[in-house]
Amino acid sequence: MKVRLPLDPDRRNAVGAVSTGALSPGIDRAASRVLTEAIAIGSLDPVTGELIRWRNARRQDCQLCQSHRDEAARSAGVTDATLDAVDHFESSDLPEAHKTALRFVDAYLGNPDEVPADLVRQLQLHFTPTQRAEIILRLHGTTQNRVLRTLGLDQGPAR
Amino acid sequence: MMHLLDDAGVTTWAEAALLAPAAFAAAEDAQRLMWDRGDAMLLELARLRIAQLIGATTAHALHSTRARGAGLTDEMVADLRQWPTSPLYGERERLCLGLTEQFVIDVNGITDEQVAAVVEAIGAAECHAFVSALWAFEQLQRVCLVLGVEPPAVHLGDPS
Repeated sequence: MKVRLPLDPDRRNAVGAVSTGALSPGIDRAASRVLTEAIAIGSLDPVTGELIRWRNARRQDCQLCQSHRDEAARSAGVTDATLDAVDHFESSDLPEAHKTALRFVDAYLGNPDEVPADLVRQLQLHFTPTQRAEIILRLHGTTQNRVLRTLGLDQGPAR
Repeated sequence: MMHLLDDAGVTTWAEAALLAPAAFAAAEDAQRLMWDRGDAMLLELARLRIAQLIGATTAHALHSTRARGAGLTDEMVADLRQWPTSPLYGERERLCLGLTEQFVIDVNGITDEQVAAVVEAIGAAECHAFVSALWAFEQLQRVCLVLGVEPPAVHLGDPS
């Protein structure tokens, strides 16, 4: 996919996406702050955070997101095989708490007005209120990759 | 219907925000910025269409005073589901609403031509701001749906 706005494809922002600063300053920063502040809540373990990020990356087919690996999650044991398991998490050996979080990602991205009561109860069982707030806000922030996909800003490495 | 923070007694956006004030404030700030960077009528039409598509009935029932001031009428809102054929909508609105729908349904179905047409109609900077607003509006509505709370006033571009 090509960059769909008149931007220099080799000028990148802090996360490696094509920078839109020359076109509409401030928007990238305000948008990325949603995710930064969500992560800063700090109530989730890095593995859960990475699995949520990865599920969304795969759902949106964001190239940039899929080229990234979270170092804290790596240190906590997340491998490429773990990430591969996310695609078929229901039949995987991922812990039930992670499966619950991934089910919620799908509900949030699919039908947020119809999150099943059983899933809500599972989330309440595995995660504290603050952790659940962090999951929601991480999803808000990480779905900014939909803007990148729409405008072709998730290009491969700059030259 | 159960919501994610029912057990914490959360029934409003403000109560949810107490769990993570800085993060919720960042989400609010993103809403404010989007309204400051775009055409209020286009933004409100997109916001309402997103609400229709994802079943955000509470967000859909709310109306932006700022958009009314920019010329949005009750008739246009009533005709929103018929935007492709309604005589109340011009080419600019149709292009932006077409992009809005595809953004919500499947971003990977958006074409070079579709974005180029929007850029031609409203300019590259406003196109970027508009698409960013689609993200901000859609996500805030999704957050409110899973929390079972009404969106904050900043979602409408109106003062608190």
